[in-house]
Amino acid sequence: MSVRKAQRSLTAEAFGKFLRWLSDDDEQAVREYQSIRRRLVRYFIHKGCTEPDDLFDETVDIVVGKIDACEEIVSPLAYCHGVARNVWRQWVRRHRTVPVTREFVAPEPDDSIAREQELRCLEHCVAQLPPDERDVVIRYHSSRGRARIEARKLLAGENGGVNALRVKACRIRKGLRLCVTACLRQSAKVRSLGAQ
Amino acid sequence: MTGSNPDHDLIREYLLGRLDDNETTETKMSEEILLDEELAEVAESVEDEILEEYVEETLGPADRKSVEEYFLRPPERQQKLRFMRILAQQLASKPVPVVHDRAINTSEAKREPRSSHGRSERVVWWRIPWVYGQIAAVIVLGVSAASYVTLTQHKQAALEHDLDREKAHSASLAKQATQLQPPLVALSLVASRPRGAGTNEEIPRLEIKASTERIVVEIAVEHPRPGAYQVRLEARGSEEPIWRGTLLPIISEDGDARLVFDLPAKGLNSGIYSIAVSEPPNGGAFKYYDFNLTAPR
Repeated sequence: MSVRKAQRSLTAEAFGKFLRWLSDDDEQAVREYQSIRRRLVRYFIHKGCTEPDDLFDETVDIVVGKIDACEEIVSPLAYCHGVARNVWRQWVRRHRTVPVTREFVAPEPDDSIAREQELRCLEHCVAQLPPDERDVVIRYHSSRGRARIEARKLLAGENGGVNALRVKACRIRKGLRLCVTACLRQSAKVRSLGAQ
Repeated sequence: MTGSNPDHDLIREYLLGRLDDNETTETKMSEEILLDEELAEVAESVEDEILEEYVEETLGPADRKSVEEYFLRPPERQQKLRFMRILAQQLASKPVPVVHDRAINTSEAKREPRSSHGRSERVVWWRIPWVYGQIAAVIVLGVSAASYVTLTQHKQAALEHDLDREKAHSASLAKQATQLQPPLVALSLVASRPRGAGTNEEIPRLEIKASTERIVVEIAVEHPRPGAYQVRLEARGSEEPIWRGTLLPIISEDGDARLVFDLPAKGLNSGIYSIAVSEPPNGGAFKYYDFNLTAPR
């Protein structure tokens, strides 16, 4: 895995110019920016890029440089996507010869206390789920092999089919991931307090 | 979602980087996902499915290679993989309801047809001379009666077999219903008492089922202190702790601190238990949080 470069950041002037291009209304411009950022970062992730945030910044840099020359743009998102596609192609050319390492295949924390804390946070977050969601996530991930297949068939029947179940399980896991991240952040704060 | 949604397999190919050489399809797919949030959610669920199959080691060699050389490059996906592993490890040991096989029991299909043995013998006996007619009639009656009894016994055996099968089915459904109970139960404790003090207030009650594996305990901590808390579970009247641990509290955005941990439910009998908590630095006095547990016999 390549080492992540230092985070690029837009200059305040360039960022302001980009926001004004999105909308004259400040709030609307920020909303548009957040929406474009989320979608384009997701695009770079889908394209297997190792630095999706940096590539988004690079995209905005290029767009800002072209704003003055731009004719009336109907959809800033579609325009940014076009630029992002070129940024991705350049990234592919740059990384074509990068050797693949497999260190990410089994990333485990070395710190057993951190691991224990992570498990505790997961338990805490699972316990905090509404009962129906907790039931889905536990049954979805329970057991192995044939028993798991049967359990998922049963769950799919109860949740509107396989695709609907998959989307529901994905939503619940996403919520759990956010909850665990917040929980770990809090624990880290307490630990750093203890270390002082 | 748009009317011309790409199918699941195509999304999967896109996410595994296999459309990169097909510019038209790749562009269409990335644009659709970019503009359609619902489709983006479907794509995210397919992404999870790929990670699940990777964790479960059910991917074929080609997919596995694509996952390792393309799909897992972004750090965000590596984090998702890590979370998926933890989730799978934590929950995989849970039992799931076994789906009862409703297929017809093969033994039922093989059940013997009604015997015609007696009747065929009767036909033979009707062909012997008249002098033996009466004897034959008696024998035929006897054989018929025996056939009738045998048939009745067969029917009864079949009914008993069906009854046994239904009983087994009911037992299986009952077990299934039990297993559907969540294996985790939550217990929140707020009020503590010093050691030796009586419990004047009504203590919290907790009921666990046979399917309960763990009790997730949450204890509110007043005035949290930096450092680790010593926690142990004791049964009333016993000095020896059943379980002990060292925990860091979780502090919410509002500043509320809680100790969250889970206890094994197996082996706990009905009765009064106390969770003893000692604040850091170690060696501080223990506070006791009591609860009344009802466990299945």
